[in-house]
Amino acid sequence: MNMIASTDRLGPNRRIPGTRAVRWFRAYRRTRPFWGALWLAVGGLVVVKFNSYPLGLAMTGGFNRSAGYILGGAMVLFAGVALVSPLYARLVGVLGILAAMAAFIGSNFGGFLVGSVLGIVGGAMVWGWGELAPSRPAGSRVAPAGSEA
Amino acid sequence: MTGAGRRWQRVWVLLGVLTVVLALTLWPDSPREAARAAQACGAGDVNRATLTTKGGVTLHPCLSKVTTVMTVPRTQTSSLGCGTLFLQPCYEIKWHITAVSKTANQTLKYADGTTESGLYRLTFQQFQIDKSATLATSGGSGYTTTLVPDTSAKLGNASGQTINTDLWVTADSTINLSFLTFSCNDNVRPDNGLWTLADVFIDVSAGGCGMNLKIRYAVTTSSGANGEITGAYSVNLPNTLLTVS
Repeated sequence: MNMIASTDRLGPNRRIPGTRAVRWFRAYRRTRPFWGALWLAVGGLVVVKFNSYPLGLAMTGGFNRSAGYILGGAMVLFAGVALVSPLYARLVGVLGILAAMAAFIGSNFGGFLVGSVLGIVGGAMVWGWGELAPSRPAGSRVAPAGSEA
Repeated sequence: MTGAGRRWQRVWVLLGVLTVVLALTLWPDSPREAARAAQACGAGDVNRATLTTKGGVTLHPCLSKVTTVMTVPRTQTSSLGCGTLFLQPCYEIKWHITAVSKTANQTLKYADGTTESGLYRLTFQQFQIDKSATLATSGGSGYTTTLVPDTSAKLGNASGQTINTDLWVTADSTINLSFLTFSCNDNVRPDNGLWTLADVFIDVSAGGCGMNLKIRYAVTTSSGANGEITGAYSVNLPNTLLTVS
């Protein structure tokens, strides 16, 4: 059976089951802020969905009419960037949060609050994404700093 | 992570941020802001137009060059014996007035300093729409306001003070008027002699079957002091359906 290495806390030698596609997807989502980007993108789509103007009107309408498309689109864009550029997840996460907060003011309370909340949560998840802390073996204690004799 | 991968990630981030910044800065201004800019009539309002209504009221509007097209489509009810000098009513009456007049050689000055001559001032007295009319701006986003009154929509009431509606229109505007033996068969332009006849012979009321007016400026005044419309002499829209499409 063809196996690929996992990247989780159990180390690269752990073999994971599943079809080739499942294993690829699992490796993919574990190497980037997948869930945060997903919530951020969904929030952006909600903002676009609940803005007040059709695209044709927004194209001729200045920021008041286009805010839903620009800010919602920015949230989706930053979600995509977070997926392809996980090294910059912190920067993209902050920008996603800012876009979601601006959408609350600029576009129908950010998709009637739903889009902004999803965007802020997703952006925070993208911002906080990183390596997992190594798990401690059961029963072990972490020695306080400087306590070693 | 390879160096090439890091570089590409940096490129994607820069492209993403750049896209959002460009969208925020380069999105076109709203028509309202553009219209406000266009309506700045210059220092000391030097570009304001000077217009005089039929009732003698002088106005100094700041005109933005947006044309409002008012349309009342004709509806033919009979095809037998229609035409000028026939008494057979062939079209549905859709609007009423108690008098009309026109004044030629009108010149408008616009906010950008340009002028337009060859316009006509049409005056409708007690203008009343009975069926439906649509209003659309030539400089807008293609939206049309439709006004469909249940009985009739009036600018001012039909008795008491006289309400005049003055319209400055282009020469290719047309109305379809029915009075004496003139049916609504002809599209009457402002330069048509029928306007003069109508000015003379319409004394109580006349009906119209259609219109297509390209309006540069419109104003409604009363026969009262300074042409002001107060109290009950306002826009009267009983059971009127207003739609924007």
